Amino acid sequence: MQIPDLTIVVPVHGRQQTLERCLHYLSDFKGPIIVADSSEVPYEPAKRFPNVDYRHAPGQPYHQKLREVYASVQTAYLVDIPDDDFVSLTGLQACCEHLRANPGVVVCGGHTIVFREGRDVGLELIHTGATVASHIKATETIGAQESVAQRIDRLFRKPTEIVHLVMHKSAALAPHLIVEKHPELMPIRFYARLWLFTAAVMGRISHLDTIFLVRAKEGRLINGAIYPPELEREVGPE
Amino acid sequence: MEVRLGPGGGVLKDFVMAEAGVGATDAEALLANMFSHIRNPMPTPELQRERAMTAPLVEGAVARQAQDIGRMIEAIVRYSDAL
Repeated sequence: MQIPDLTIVVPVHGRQQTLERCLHYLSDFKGPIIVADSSEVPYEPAKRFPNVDYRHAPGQPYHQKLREVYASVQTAYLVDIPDDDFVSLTGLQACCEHLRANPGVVVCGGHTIVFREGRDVGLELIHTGATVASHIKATETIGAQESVAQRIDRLFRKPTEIVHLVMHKSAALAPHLIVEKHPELMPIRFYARLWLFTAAVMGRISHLDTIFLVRAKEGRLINGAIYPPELEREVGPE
Repeated sequence: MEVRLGPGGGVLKDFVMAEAGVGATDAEALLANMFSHIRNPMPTPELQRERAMTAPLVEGAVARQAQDIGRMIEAIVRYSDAL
């Protein structure tokens, strides 16, 4: 599959065992793939994958790693996919077509579901983006008529995650540039919201009725409990 | 809701003013809205309603993209011994 204006970024840190599976799966994607590996030891098998630009920077901090990689991307759009998750290539194609057709949209994604490993391989249709239906409806019906204030209210009233969706390069870079100056905004439960907030300020965020991301169990654990109060941290206001 | 911005909040306010082309008061209102929702998450019954609305969409999308999903399952099975 060719998507000429998209780069896939695969960030890795200390978990190279799922990288080969990831790159094998992505071998049908004929565009640029950047593996940004901050593990101590380089992953030599990456050389076997012709589309892959493997970058090894041992111990490099997460935000510095992604900021440098995102800044170097040559395509209009990028998507950041963890090494243990799967992105649907048809979902990617649909999102990129939507972005091209709607210049005011800076982020586009779809459904996120999870998979089981081990002997009982399969899918769990308990999507992690619990409220995507509302955002799909908003994408289809409201579009450009929504103000920035209305958009932020909708996206935070019915919380959703956008970190691993297709993003305009500028929208992907923005939260990293902010965190670089203000690392206190980094705490894990706030970072995804910072990303959502900065993107919503920069433009529209679309959700399509397509499977986009299939996450490993770890992703489900992180995203499945969206915004439980006990994990909240007060960040931002004094 | 009153928002007293710390250093991180200040840079966010500047970001909103530059990107959205709004003044300081509107930028603070946008930030206040975000923090208000973070502090007051969606009630569980509403979350369950939202999940119920999304479930049939997900099932339909999985059926439409069965070939794509099949390749993922194939990769999971193929590499299951290596993990």
